[in-house]
Amino acid sequence: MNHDQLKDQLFAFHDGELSAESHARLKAHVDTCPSCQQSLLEWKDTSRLFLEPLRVKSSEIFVQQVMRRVRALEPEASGLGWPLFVRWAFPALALSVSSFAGAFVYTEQPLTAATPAIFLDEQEQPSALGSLSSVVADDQILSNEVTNP
Amino acid sequence: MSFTGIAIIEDLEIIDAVIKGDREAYAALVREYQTRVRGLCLSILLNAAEADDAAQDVFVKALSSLASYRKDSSFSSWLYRIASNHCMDQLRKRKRQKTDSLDRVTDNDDGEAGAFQPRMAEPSESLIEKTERLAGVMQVLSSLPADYREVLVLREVEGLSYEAIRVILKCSLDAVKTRLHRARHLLQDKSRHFLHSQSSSK
Repeated sequence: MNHDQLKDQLFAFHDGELSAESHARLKAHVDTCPSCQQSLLEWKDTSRLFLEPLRVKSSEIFVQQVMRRVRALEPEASGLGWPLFVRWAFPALALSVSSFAGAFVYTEQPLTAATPAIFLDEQEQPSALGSLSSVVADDQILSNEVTNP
Repeated sequence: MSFTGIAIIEDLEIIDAVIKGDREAYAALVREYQTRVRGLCLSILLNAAEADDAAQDVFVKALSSLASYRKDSSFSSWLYRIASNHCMDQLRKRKRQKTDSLDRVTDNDDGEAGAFQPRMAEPSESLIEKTERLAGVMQVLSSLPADYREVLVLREVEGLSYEAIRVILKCSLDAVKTRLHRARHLLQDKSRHFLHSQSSSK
């Protein structure tokens, strides 16, 4: 591997991202190459001068500011407390119980004492249906009379 | 078990406690990760006050979606990703507002100067020299694209591996290497130019 190829790996070497074998090979080269040593030194200086100022100091005031905002959050907004499915479980259960109870009462209604006798007496049911069909038939006769007087 | 492994388990225990409703436990996570999140925000926004506001937003956002945090990646990577997305959004908003407004506060390339307050340097340095130097540093940094500054801070300041950076930036390993390589070369070019102009003006 020539000098330029080795120099291309200089940053990876600096970052410790080379394999053990490549690292050893590059280290052996850097130890004897003033140009690569200079490049590394130059980068370290640049990093110290321009990137170190971006290192932030720890601040307890910042922590307290965040916690003040956290405490002011509603439990729903913070997404914490009971998991979502648990929070919805109670209303969902109540709704299904009431729906089931309503359906049960409706279907069982004919058996109650308040139900008209016509539905309770099997003998009477055909005559009730018969009277309904006779009403429909009367309506048809009436409508024919109106359209064809 | 490694130190990092123990730290991850501790994080998970705290996260579980917070999810179960112990909000005060969240302070430990904020305390642990505040410098990194604020540093990342600062590298993108280049404004100390805005960076701290953004970092607060990041922690509140992270709390709100803590239940959706999947434990297959580290909490720090997840947090960094929220911070990165949030600050890039802020930057876009700022640029939109700047386009709408004619009131330009700064005259540098990105106008990302503001109230940048980096760390203090050597005590022997006079206040004027220090201010001049920091203004120069800021000028150079603001001339780099925000995603270059971000990747430089993740690598150089936070000391993250390429793999960890890949997870945060949601890109390929090759993309991380390329971006980092270009960012370094650009920063070196700009810094050489800056140092040259400094020395010739003296």
